[in-house]
Amino acid sequence: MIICPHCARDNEDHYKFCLGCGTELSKLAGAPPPPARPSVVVARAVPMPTGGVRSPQPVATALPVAAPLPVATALPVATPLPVATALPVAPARVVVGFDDAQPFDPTVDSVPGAEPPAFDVPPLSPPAFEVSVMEAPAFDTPEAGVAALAEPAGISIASPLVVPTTPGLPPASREPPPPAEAPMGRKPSEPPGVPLDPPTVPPAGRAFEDPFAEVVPRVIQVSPEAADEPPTDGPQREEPPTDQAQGVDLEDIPLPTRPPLGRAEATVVGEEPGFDLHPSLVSVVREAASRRCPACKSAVPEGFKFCGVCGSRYEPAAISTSPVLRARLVLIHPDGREGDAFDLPAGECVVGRDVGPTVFAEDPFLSPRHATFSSGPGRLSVRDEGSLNGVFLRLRDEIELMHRDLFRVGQQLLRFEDMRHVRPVVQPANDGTLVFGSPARGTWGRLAALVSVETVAHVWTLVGPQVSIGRERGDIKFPQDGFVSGAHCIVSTRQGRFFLSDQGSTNGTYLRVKGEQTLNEGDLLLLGQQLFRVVIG
Amino acid sequence: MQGTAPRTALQTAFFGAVQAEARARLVLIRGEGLDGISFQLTGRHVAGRSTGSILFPDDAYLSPRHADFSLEDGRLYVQDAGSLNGVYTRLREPARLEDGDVFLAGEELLRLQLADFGGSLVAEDGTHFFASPMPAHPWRVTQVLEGGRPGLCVVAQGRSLVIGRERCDIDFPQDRFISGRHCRVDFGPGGALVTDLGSRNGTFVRVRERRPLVHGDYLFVGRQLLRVELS
Repeated sequence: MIICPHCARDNEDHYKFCLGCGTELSKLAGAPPPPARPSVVVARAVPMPTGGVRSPQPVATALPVAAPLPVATALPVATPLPVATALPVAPARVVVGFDDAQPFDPTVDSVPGAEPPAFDVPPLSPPAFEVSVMEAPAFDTPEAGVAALAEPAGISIASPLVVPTTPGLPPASREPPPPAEAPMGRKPSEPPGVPLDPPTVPPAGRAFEDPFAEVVPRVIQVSPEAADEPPTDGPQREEPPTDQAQGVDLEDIPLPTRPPLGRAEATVVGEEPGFDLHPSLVSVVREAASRRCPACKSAVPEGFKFCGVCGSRYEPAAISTSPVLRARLVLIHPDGREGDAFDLPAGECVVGRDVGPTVFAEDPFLSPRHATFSSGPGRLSVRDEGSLNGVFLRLRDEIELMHRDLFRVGQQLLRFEDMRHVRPVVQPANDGTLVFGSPARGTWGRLAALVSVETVAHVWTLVGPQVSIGRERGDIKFPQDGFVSGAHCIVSTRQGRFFLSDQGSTNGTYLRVKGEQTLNEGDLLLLGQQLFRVVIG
Repeated sequence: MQGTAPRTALQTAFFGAVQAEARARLVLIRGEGLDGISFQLTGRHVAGRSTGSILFPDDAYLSPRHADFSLEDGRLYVQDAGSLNGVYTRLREPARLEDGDVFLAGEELLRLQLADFGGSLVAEDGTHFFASPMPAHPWRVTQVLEGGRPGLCVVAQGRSLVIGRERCDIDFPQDRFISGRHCRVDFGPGGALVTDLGSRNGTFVRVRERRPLVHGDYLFVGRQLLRVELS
């Protein structure tokens, strides 16, 4: 018998996971599980219990599968974690990040004379991932499962992230957002005002080493495995009641190192964990069975009214109905993968170098207190806390520019200046003499490139109804900035007002947020040197 | 107009200064409707909008008292009389520029600026500033618009900047008076030099102190372009 150190439940010797709480028992035996890669999160193991995974990869020996599947030992899924390994799919280009470490090489990642290299961001609209595993219905028979899973890959991911960066094309398709995910990671509902536990992400998982290496965008490759995506709908709806999920059950599970929940399958949930499942599936089941005992936090399989560990009564009725938006930030890695997701608690959450998740603490481009996210009923917003570098939001539509607004185009940090507010460098005399100078020709504004907090280097004048900005075309050109699209954005004026709009650029145009900025699903935020996608569940 | 003193009492008398041999004159090349008029210079003269013998009352870019001219021992000198907009002379050879010096190319008034772009990017609280790429060369040329506001600023990508209408480092495609390649500013350890590149209309630098003029020099005083003729 193995006594679980977590819930003290007795387990059979061959169990690798505690029957009561799911704690990994094999750890006690010495062999630590391979470290979970936070960004690799495909729940491929899910359909195993019924049909077994049928994939090009061989299947582990110990699967309790009746079908005469090809058997081998090298299954990457064999780790106890319900985490898939990297899918053997050709890497897809695209996405985001900032990199300075390597100077822009036009021979890399770009077609000469075409669009810039892919300092690219995923499409604004949330990618519509299709993880077939998620959507696979419960199979009644192993045969059905095998048949249904006879696809070349056990998981097919159709992600817009994998959209090739065809020159000249705007990024990716604008698919409708995926169905809302029920459990936000493993924190179904944070108590209001409670800050997130700092995620224990191994720093090695991120590629930001040199703080100065991030001053300019980085060309990145995205792997299609970046399926760290809100899973689909379905059985996750049966999430634990709010009052039972006070984060206690997270203590033994570093949040970011886990794949997001919601990969659970109904078929699994319905099983009695640990009895006839392969040990590698127990953890899946454990997560899937999000019903947890209010007293001991042990999993309570569906259909049970009492906790099998401590006997407490399970009250499934207490399901959270919080009207507050539950949102999270999905980190977009420098290499383009979507990485860890940070749940934003209800109420206000201050992030910065000194507060908030550790990913923020490692960023020297963040102020100690940088920004505040506010999750209120039906609304998520962010507010700059007077930070040095601010919060930048990727433009979707044309916005109005005000004097001294800051925006980013490629590597450039540009400040718009309304000519009416630009102070003369030559003061007029009081004898009626006019100040001589170049003809103004109707100049209505300027764009100034900031190279330090208040140092302006290059300045362009804005003349005519609209001024286009691009790498090769346009009135203002950045021929040496590989992260600017051929035609990137347009600054225009109408009736004494000024506007900025992106021209379908590859890497987007980002405007610094002023005041309280409402956020929407799929918004892309630049905080310090890191890019986040807003996911509102 | 005052003639010079009669040399001998026995010489034939002339009808005053009208007949006197012109020692120096300024010919208005381009101005406010007075093109072609010339001003005889015989001694000390003041140019301005409301003061002096060289008057341009309609040019608001002239200070009331703008410039002083003086003819001394056959040499003509010009000096800025503390005007707002200054006096500009056309380059005959490369001229040194100091930080803040202005020069004219076509219709463009340009200023050399030395800037320390290597300032700290780290704030007091340790936060690094996320900025545009830092220029490698610490100088730029800034356009000064009428009214005194700054316009275009171009940071040097190297040791020189060529200014012209098109395909230069700084282009002014809308300026009808600038040449394709008009002038060049060079920056080196010894300072900055501005050189005219054989432009049609010339490059002008602002007069800092009293300086002599020679035959064929051109001057900008306000909007007025004057040619110096000395005999």
